[in-house]
Amino acid sequence: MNSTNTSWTETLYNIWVVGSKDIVDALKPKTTLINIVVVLALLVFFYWILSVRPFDKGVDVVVVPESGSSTFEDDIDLGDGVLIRFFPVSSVEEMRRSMGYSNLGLVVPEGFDAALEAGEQPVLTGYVNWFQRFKISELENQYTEQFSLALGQPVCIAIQGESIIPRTGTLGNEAAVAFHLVFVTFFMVISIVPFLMLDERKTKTMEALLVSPLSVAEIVLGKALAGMFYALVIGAGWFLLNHMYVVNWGMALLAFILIALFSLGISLLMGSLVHDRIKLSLYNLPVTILLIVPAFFAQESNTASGFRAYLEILPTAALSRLMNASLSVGITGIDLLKDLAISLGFTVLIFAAVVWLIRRSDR
Amino acid sequence: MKAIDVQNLTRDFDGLRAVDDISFHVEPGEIFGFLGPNGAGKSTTIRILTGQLRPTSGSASVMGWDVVEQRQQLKPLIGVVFEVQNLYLRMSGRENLRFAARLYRVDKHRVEEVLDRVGLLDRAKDTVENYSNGMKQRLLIARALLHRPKVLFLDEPTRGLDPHVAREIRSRVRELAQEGMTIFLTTHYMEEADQLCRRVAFIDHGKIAAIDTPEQLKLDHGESEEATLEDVFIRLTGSHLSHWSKGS
Repeated sequence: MNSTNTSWTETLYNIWVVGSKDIVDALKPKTTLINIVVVLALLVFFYWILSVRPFDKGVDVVVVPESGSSTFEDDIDLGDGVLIRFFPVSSVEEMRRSMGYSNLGLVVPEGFDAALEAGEQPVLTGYVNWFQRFKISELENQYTEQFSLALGQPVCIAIQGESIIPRTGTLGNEAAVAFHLVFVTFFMVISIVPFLMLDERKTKTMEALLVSPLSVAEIVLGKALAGMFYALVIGAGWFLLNHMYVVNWGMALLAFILIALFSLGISLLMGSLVHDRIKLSLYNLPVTILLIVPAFFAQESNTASGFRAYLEILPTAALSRLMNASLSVGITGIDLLKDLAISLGFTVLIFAAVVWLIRRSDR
Repeated sequence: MKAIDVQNLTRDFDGLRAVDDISFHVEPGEIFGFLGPNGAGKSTTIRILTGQLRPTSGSASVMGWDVVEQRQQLKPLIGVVFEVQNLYLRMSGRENLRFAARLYRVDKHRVEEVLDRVGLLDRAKDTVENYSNGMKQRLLIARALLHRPKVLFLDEPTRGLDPHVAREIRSRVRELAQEGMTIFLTTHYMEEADQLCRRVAFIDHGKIAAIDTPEQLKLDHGESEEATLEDVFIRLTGSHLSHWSKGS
């Protein structure tokens, strides 16, 4: 059973034995179950608040009046508190850059006002954000109906198949959605994994594992596997609900795996350092505040320079930016490499610290 | 080959010497008693011999494998019954053993066999948190025996148990030795050591005070012909021990 002679299959089997035990064991304490329910509820809640339901709230329309049309200068009140607000820009390019949180981009064709006056049914070219690309026909019908009502005569809104994809670094729904994945994954993993380590130490079952044929690394990776399982559960839920935001699936999956690994590293570290359940629950809060809350501002450039510098090196902010890059276009190679290096570097360091801490117990 | 061979073993903790230059050996198939008061260095020695702790100096081997350099080779050959009942309380007895069986690559049928051997087959599906102390101790022994170790370390195996369960465990230990297993036993109970062990070592303040058969120790160090192992123990390790010895 020399560790150097142990085959990869044996190592993987050992990791699986510990991991599968912990996957089941993690569900047994009531507190863990409550945490899992809370995270799943947060997943659905974030999805719900970030969902775009234009005619429930208000419709923001970026307008390109090609011929100087005056039809869309004033806001239109649809009643029930629903207001259509218009933001004129001078070109389609400017409209693409300005879409952000707006619901619709609209190009008003030459002769639109005259066609309206003549009682014809003019056609407007519409653009929607990329995450709405799967329901273009539904949106066409909805906008056509509502604008016809608002203008008092029929108009047709033809939404372009080529939807608007934001550039990396702009502040739109994608920044919030990317942060959302970092948050729920971290919260899920930190709610489970440190307690797996803690329970093992508290009940001294760790000693039984250490005298078994398992190596320290296999024990740590087994715990990580259990955490990864729950990270995958929450990740699958997130991708199911938010798949429409993803532009680059390869990068999205890579970013998610890095988010899960980083969360696992921090959780294992917490479980190795803190030997008391109440203290662990208490310490989870400042750790989450320090690591996760700032990541919400990962894309925000208008912050104090000190905070900006912190965000540049904060691994959760780097992970949030990486995820954001998979929901947008135009990230530069240097930015991508920098964020990858920060995320991977911190994760490797943290895992090394965990193995060192457990190994140190025999010194 | 010696089952256990310890040479000049020393272990310090932050300037405190827990084990102080001890040497001894244990023959294969022997029940060896390692006796001493709390804090004497018994558990530290067990932790070193089972590869959980590195010695500060000296060396030790179990079944020929060095406990520091070759501990991965050593692990499948040893079974440990810890002083603390370190079981997964939310799992059933059977689940605890099945998990251990997977760690040691032992067939599932062996789980049923050892459960039967320690008399827990009919309670195997109950969660361990509902077990009595005695049942937990029997389950610990079952776990340690699962992979048929060559050397079994028993750290206070009868502590806190009622006399019936303690007697049953002693009987099992004797059986295992008869089957050829080497047993390294620490206990507070001198009578238990006297009954079970071929040889005993007294450890106090990290040093071995005496090592021999219980009969020879009584002859060499007893004050009268009726001297017990406990009398010898108290004489060799100091009067400060009498209070716990009587208490036990």
